[in-house]
Amino acid sequence: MNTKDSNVTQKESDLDSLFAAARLSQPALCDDNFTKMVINHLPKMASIHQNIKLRKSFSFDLVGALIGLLCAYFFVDQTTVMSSMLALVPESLVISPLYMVAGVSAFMLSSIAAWWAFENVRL
Amino acid sequence: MTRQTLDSLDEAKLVALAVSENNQLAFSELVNRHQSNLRYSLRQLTNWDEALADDLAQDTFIQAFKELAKFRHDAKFSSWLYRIGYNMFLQHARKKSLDTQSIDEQPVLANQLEQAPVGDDDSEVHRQVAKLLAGLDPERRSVLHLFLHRQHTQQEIAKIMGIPHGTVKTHINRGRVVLQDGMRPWRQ
Repeated sequence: MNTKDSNVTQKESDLDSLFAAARLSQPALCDDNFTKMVINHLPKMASIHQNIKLRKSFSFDLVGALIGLLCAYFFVDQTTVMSSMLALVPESLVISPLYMVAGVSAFMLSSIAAWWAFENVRL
Repeated sequence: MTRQTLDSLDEAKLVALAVSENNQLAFSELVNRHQSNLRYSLRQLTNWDEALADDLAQDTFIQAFKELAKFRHDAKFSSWLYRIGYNMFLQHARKKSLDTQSIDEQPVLANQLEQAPVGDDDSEVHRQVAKLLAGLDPERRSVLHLFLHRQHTQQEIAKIMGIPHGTVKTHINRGRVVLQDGMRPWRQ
């Protein structure tokens, strides 16, 4: 039994010493612009950190909005708010050419602003 | 901050710089320190397909950069990196279902191994070990590589590879038998 055990131990230590030799002879791979290639791909990822910050700030905004809504639910009389909002709706609506031009201009401006924001602050 | 200053910084500080200040120079220092070991490990995993291993290593570093903020300092950076690399390899293997036949049956790979940049007397041992590992299935190969080359403990390997401790133990015991048989001529 003891001989068997000692044989196993001997085999393992032999293998370990061979692996120690293999470890020592492991080639150190030269960089060959590898680091440069990796880094060249990173600028595209610069927005990741910005993305994380934006997500955090959005979470805070969302939590704030929920708290605000809860407070409003308990402290504000919804019937009064609804009726005063309904009172704001005009009974008749006349769209003059001037209103049309102003509306289309506002829509175009907001579209351009959205496009600009998307192109320049892309996440 | 100059490269010389970065050379003297430890990994925790380099990671902190790369995360908080988006400092690419700090990250390039981390890449520079770990590229050789990671590329070698991935070459071992990919049966010495150098181009594939380098592509996987590049993807690993890019993924690491993306997830750098999630890095917890309770593990070594090299272990964390290897875990990402191993997952990259698994993803690739699932897509391509990598061939795991013996390296001796693949003349191109065997030739690549013969040309491995080693020059001392131990290089033959290194080649023989690499050949034997190449004949094992990827999971066992990875376990043995981490255990014998990188000298990780069994618990560390289980954590890195996300497999049970018992599986690691089995891979090591069975892999040892294969390696002992394969290395018999060297022991004599």
